[in-house]
Amino acid sequence: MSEEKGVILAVRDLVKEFPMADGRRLRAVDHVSFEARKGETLAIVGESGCGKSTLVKTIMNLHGPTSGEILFHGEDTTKLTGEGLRQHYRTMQMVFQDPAAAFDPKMHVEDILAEPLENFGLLKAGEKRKTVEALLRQVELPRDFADRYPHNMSGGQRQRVAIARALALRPEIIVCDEATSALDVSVQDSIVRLLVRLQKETGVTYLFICHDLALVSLFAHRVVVMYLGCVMELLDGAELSAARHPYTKALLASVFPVDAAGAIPKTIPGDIPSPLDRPAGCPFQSRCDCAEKRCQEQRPELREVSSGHFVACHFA
Amino acid sequence: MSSAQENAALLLEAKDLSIAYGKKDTVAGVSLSLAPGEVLSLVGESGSGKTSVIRAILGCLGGGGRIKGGSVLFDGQELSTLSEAEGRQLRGRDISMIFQDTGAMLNPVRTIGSQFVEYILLHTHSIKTKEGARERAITLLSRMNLPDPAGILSSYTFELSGGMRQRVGIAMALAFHPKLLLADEPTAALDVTTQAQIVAELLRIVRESKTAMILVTHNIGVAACVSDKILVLSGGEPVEYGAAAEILRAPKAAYTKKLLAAVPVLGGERYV
Repeated sequence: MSEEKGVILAVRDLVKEFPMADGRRLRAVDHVSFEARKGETLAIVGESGCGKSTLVKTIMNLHGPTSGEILFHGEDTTKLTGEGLRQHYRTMQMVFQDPAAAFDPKMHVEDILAEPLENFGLLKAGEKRKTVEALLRQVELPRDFADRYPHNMSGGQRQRVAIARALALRPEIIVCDEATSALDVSVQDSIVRLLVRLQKETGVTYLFICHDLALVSLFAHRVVVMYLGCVMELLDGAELSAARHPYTKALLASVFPVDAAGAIPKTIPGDIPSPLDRPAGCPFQSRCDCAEKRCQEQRPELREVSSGHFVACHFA
Repeated sequence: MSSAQENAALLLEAKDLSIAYGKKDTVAGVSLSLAPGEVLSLVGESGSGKTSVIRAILGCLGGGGRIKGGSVLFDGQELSTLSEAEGRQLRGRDISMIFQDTGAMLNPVRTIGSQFVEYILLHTHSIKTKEGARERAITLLSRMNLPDPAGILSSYTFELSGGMRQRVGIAMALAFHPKLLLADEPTAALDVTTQAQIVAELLRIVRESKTAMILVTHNIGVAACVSDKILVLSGGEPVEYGAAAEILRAPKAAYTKKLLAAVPVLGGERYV
């Protein structure tokens, strides 16, 4: 059933809460459901505090969910333990925002890239150098980078090494958590082009966490927009201009145009509310222009407004 | 207008500025000028020397940095010839600065109010009492559209959101109607909706008070929306300098073209 349309990951009704010292519970992810298909880039977009990082950490099994299921090829990965879980980690790898912090500064790139393979006993004796050089070639770095330390590289080069490490185990899913947001625009552009090329070659699925809608509009197949732990809208990356949720529209309107005549974007006022102080009804009501009484009382369900386009808004 | 008149109208003029950290030259040959009320953006990638340039103007290059050559004229005065005391008079009053994260600039174990009051009393003689300074701080915070300014004064930096902290930083920097505001990536740490709010407020206040601003940013979109002039830096050297509209419409240098082409735009050509 879940293998339909090449779905490899299905998140069902996922909730993640954290207990607070004063006994309250902070709900970071609130009944989130979506599916990721083989070979696609699913962007998860939202501002800080919207729960996107907690969501992917739960998907990566770095902590368990409060409730809900994460189905990988139909199997609930939240139930995995021990060796089963360890083997599952092979299929999902992660690229982080700050590659300088993701590496051991005292390890050569060669050892950084070989380590995941050694952990799973996948490296044949005498083939370490050859394998590492092949990985470097995949991310368009010269062979002699194998002898460098992380601090001897630029941010973009380090991020390429991080991508090579993620690729080493031939995972089915790579989670990129703000993988390009610390980079300069031209470097960001080259990393995104690299990711797209690698996807075409290997058929890997990306979960791409990002807060820049303009960037994801260039290469995401589908986009999940989150706010206060909830999915607000799910739509095609190529159809972002057809967004119907007021929050998605506000995010789109916040992009500064590269144009001298460009006016300063008119955006929504205020800040995201505290997840400890969640409003009843629609999570977005406090910053929404069209909020009415109904929005305060009833939380809008995510419903399909056209094929593959889901919106959680009473007015969409 | 003759060139002598033009020069008289300039607020800031840097000529052939070069900066070195120890023996390492990081910035060379930067010239720029700013009339009162003008907004100039310094754009370029990390390590291009943007921050060094504005820190040199403020006279607070860190890490063993020094101005190696060139001159910086502010309001007709050569900044390098000022004594330490004269420099202190200028900084914080006529030239002030905002940083990427105001939370990092302020002391986390003191309330925002105590630091704001201290800052006001240090820099002005017209306000003599703590109560007076507090009132002034409240007025300044309300001007930044901050709700409950009195509550903010009794808060600590970690109790505020990033956007609110940044508004506090801007309110402090603009406390004495400086002639020149130096803004170092003031929105880089903020969310996109907050960034748009802060840029709009910053620009409104700068225009109202006719303050000139040098904005350091790697966000070309922000630079495009606020600037009169743009200076593009790469590897510590000026690549292109001129009217913002001109540079954005018809960039001349290959580097500028590459930089502009790399900015993701909504509805741009997709890679997949």
